[in-house]
Amino acid sequence: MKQGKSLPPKGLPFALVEGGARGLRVVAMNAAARNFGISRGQRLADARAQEPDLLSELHEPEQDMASLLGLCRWMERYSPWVSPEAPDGILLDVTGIPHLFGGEPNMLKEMRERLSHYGFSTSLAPAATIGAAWALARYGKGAESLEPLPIEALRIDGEAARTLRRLGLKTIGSLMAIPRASLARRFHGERIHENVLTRLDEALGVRDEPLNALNPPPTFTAHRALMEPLISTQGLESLLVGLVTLLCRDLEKHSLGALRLILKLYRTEGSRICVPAGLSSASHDPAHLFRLLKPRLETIDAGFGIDAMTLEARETAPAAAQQYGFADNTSVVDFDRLNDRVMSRHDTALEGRVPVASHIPERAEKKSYLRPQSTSVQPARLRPLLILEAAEPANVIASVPDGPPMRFTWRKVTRRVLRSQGPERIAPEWWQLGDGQSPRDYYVIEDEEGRRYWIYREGLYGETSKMQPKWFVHGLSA
Amino acid sequence: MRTEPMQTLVGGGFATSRPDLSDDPSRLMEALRGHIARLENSFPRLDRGHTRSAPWTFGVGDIDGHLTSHGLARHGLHDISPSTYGEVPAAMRMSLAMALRRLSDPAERRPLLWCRLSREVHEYGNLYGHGVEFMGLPRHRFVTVTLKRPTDALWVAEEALKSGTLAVVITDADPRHTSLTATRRLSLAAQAGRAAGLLVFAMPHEGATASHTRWIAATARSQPPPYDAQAPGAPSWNLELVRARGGRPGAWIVEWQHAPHRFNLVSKLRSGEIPAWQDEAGKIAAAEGPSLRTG
Repeated sequence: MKQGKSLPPKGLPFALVEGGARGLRVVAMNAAARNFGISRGQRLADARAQEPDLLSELHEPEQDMASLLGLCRWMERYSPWVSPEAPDGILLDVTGIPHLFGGEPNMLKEMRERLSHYGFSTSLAPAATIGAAWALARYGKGAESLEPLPIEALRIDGEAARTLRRLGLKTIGSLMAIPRASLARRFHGERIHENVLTRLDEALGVRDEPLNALNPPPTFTAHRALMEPLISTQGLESLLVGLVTLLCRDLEKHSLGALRLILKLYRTEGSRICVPAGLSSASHDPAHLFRLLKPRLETIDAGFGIDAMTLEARETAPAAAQQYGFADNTSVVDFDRLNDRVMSRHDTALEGRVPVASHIPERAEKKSYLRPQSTSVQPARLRPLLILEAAEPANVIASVPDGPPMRFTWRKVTRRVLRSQGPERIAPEWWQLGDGQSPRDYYVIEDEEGRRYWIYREGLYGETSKMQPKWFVHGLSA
Repeated sequence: MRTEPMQTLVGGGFATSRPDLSDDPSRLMEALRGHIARLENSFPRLDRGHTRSAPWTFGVGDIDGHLTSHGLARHGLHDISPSTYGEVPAAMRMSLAMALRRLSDPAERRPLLWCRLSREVHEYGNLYGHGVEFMGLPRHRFVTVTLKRPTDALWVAEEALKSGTLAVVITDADPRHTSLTATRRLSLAAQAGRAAGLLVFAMPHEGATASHTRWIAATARSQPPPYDAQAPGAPSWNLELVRARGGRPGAWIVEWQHAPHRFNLVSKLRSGEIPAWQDEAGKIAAAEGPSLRTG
């Protein structure tokens, strides 16, 4: 299946080809091509000889995988536990799910209908193990048990299958008829030993096989499917209200609150939109969660409509049932909520400033996204209100060797200094590599208009061997 | 207490129906002001014991006398505009000083939020926590947020004012986005959240806003401290009140005393009156001797 290119017209023979050492070979074909006797592995030239009208395209495995993953994500509407099975399969763990769709046959019927509607030819098979489901879906043709299936249905490689066929073991049933111990003895030490026996055990459920979900399934989730697709934001919002209420009720029962939410919207044409949202503190307040998600809902592209919606709490943390409206602790909750809304809308957050043990002014504090806490009060030194992102060079006239500036030019304007205070010497931190090795002398200066600057000289006058000292403006409103 | 006469007032013909009010113009004015104040504060809300908090004054009798009810509206919006483009840092410092007058009220324990515009941060720098602390605001009582677009900053300001978790919200404002409607929204949000909003304009601005007061700030030369005649003194401003709802305009020179969180009145500005210490510049210029060199 190709994305961004038009599908070949129905009924015309079509094949996907792959470049190899001996020219292009067919790797996949449609039913019409198969009717002309074209088979996998055939050279394109031979296939063209059989059917001159054969259309072909270059095979792009990455595109196939991308589209398989897309389909997997869409399949999450049926089960949270979905895994792609390259190159062309999807595994679903539907434990405890079929009754939601009115039983297993109904669920399979719905899947088949929807998938065929999107243009996929499907072969679905429910089974108790991954191996059995794989075998029945690919080789079953409606069979109920594994016995009559060919030996290749065990997910074994070609060499192992050839060996078994040479031994006359053509079906899984014939393999199962042999006592396991003698099978193990027969293949002992050979590569196919693991291959065949492991796969057989897995298919029969003797040995566990884990299913790695594409996305780890959440513990808390709320799902709604619709009869008719929705496009209007209003309709989606009312659906979201229902989901949020469901999820919050569930969370509250377990005394948990959501920290990270994912809202999944399933479009009718088989794709999915993912809307993430984060919270500063765990919450199970439906109104708050709704306010977080609502602005995102307004920006999504619903396409031809949304026919199912899932809200998942991906991360949770204990949150006791809160009673709102009492004195001071409400401000903490409200503060976090404000932060959440800012985060979900603007990809930034409220930030405090934390002091860092350093004398170098630009290194003496850092931003922190945590809620500001009261700290021990340090004796405040004269510091500017605003610190420039990087100190900007200035041309300064000052008396030598270490007098205060008299006149300086910064941002192309020359200003005369009326008053000054300093110097405050800040030595470089010798343990910091790569710093300038010259000490800085800081001055607070006021120009004729009363504007204040925080200005420093790097280096000293009179050290003849070194470079001339340089002046920088570092802060404003000192 | 005054509900009864006001009902008659709204009914019409107050001068005839309440002769006792029309007799005394000052009482009439007071009654009308009270009525307007009630109309403006007719926001339904729970008052959770916040009546104890002190009024938001400058602490300078002359300035407070120009404002309604002897102080700034605690749950209102106020504009601070620089007098020229270069005075933006001065306007910012003024807004912080005004906010500090509000935050130093012991009954007020909520923090301050400053919504910065990234373009202002590039131009004038980041708020420096050590400097803010030096001004008198401990670092656990202020947070900032930096946004790219002026409308985003206003969005955050409105949400923050409404949330009721902040005492003061200062916003770097772009005059092109602070229409009457926009500022009216902020003003209502401030009332709803019992917070004060301060808009600091990034350039001189004279357009209409829904703010309670409009200030123009510019730096003034400081008065040297007694111990060092060469050192800069307390930060000073030429402060002008150009618009005040229910108040009178005025102009002053004030300085900020960071230790007691207080403004000092340096001078009242009237036409032609220039403080004596303002022409000291000539002496400094004469002192520049031959021992100077560029660096």
